[in-house]
Amino acid sequence: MSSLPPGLILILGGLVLPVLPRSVQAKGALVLPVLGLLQLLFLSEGMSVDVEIAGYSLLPVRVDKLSLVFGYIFYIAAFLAALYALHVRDTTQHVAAMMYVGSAIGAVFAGDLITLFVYWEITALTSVFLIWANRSERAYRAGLRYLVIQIGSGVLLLSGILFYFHESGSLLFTQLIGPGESLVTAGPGVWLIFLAFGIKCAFPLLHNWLQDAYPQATITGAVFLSAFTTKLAVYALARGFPGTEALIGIGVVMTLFPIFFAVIENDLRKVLCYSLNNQLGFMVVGIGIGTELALNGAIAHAFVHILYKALLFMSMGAVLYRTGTIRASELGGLYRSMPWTAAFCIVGAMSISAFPLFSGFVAKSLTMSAVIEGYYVLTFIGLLVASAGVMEHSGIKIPYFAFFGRDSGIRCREAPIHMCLAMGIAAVLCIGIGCFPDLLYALLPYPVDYEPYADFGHSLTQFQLLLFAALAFAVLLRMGLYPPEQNAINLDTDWFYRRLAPNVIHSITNNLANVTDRLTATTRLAGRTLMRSVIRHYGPEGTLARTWPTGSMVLWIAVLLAASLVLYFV
Amino acid sequence: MIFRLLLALCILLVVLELVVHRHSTFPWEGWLGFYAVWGFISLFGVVIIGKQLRRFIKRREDYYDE
Repeated sequence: MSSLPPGLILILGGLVLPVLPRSVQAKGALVLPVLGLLQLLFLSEGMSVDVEIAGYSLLPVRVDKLSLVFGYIFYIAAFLAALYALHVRDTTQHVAAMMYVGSAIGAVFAGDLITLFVYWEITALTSVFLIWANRSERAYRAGLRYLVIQIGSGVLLLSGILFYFHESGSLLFTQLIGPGESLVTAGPGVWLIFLAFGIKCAFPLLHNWLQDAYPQATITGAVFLSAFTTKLAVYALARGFPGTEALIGIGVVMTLFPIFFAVIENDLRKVLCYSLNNQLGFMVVGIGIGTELALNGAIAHAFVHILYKALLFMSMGAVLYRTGTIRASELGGLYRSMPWTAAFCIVGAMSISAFPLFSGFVAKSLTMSAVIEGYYVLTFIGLLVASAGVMEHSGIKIPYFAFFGRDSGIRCREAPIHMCLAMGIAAVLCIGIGCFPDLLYALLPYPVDYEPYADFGHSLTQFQLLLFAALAFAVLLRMGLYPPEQNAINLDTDWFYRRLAPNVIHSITNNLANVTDRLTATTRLAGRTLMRSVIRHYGPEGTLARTWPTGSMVLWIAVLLAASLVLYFV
Repeated sequence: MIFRLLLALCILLVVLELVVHRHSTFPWEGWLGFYAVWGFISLFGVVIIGKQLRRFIKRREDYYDE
């Protein structure tokens, strides 16, 4: 059992699901992550499987602490999401979800780059069905855009691998930029791999597939999507590029720009996507700093983030499921109808905002400590602003506009029991990790010598930062300065490929058509002129077609004879 | 009511800082109420700037559907 590649249980299990009766499929999907997690518990660190294919030695399975921690949380997230999706009677979604999770898990245990690439592409191909399963025109188009970008990331990865293999002669997936080196000195292979990871990790300007596609996914699909793709990228960066300085700057920008978009976004699931993007920034900063403390911070953050982000997506999904809308402008006052969902949502909101005793705090503190230790002053200031930003959109905006605020008049039933159960487990885990951080710290790749609650001053300043941010929100509301929610969308970089590029292509084809038209007209005119002159000369009335009298012919013959006589004589 | 409660809590947090010893690495980080002020300014700033962003990027919901 231990020689079976992790993740394969889910991929094969996913393929078997369609054979089951439709009513059992959801339960089958719930059992698979449990089996997978059991298998993971049997794996021991340092274990690996190597094979030789066509003279190249590959390492399809490599088990170490970094892989294991991602493996555990991926299985936990898959279980929670499958529990949440227990009511779904759609074979496509169950199969796609299980194969997607399985390939993401396979990828974090891949020891070589080729295996990583294969799983990388399977995650793209399977996850798109969670978007298409919404079966609307918008979802179909968003899914296509998502697929093109994800597959593009895979193509870049493969080209990068080929270059890298050519340069280094190795296919092993290990640190790609060594200590003392940087992106500047790296070869094209490493650059391409970095870019491929960057797309999947939603680096600034490469990010918009995330906000474009996830809000179009099905209610349960979005919960799955929120957990795996981007965290697979975080894993890949932590493995390949720890300590790559460029990541610090990229990460800070990532934490900052999405918060402005989140303020004015009306679709609450899209707000969560901007929030997801911002959270990835914190992890990327940690990876960029690259010390043991910082890497532990990034990985701990990924771990807890998967839980509270899934919890937030589940709560918003439950709202969408019961009310049929997720627009902030149409929601409000739902705590009356959905008190449990509201409570779970608040736990998620407090966790992501990193309130002491909640999971976000014990993870983020590691990264922040590493930032302080390294004297990254600007980064520290930036991350503090970003933390207040998280408080704004995920800590307050999400629960406030859905469950409190203006009463929308919507009265509905509480979320179904299995949804509440999934949210409840996630909420317990969020608080549990926040109160007993050692449980999480024990899983991290490096030994942790850090106690988040040892210095009460740290908790105090965190409370100050968050509650004064909340105060600012309340002041803005009272002063009427808070932007009202409106039924509108906001442009992001997707405008370039959804509007600008099609327009440019359209105008080019239009211009080409004009040129062709003109060319045809000119050619036709020239042809007509030519024909006219031909007709003038050769036509029935033309000079050369005239009938000549016999007399003139005889005369010309006489002239010719006379001329030849004269020539002969001379 | 909730607003006043929040305000009272905020004031309490700043007063607590006078009695609790806290460790600071950067000198400015140790100033009394630094985190409080910074948290307030940050959220205020983010919302005001975000609001201005609407002028440039807000479109009708069916903008891409045409």
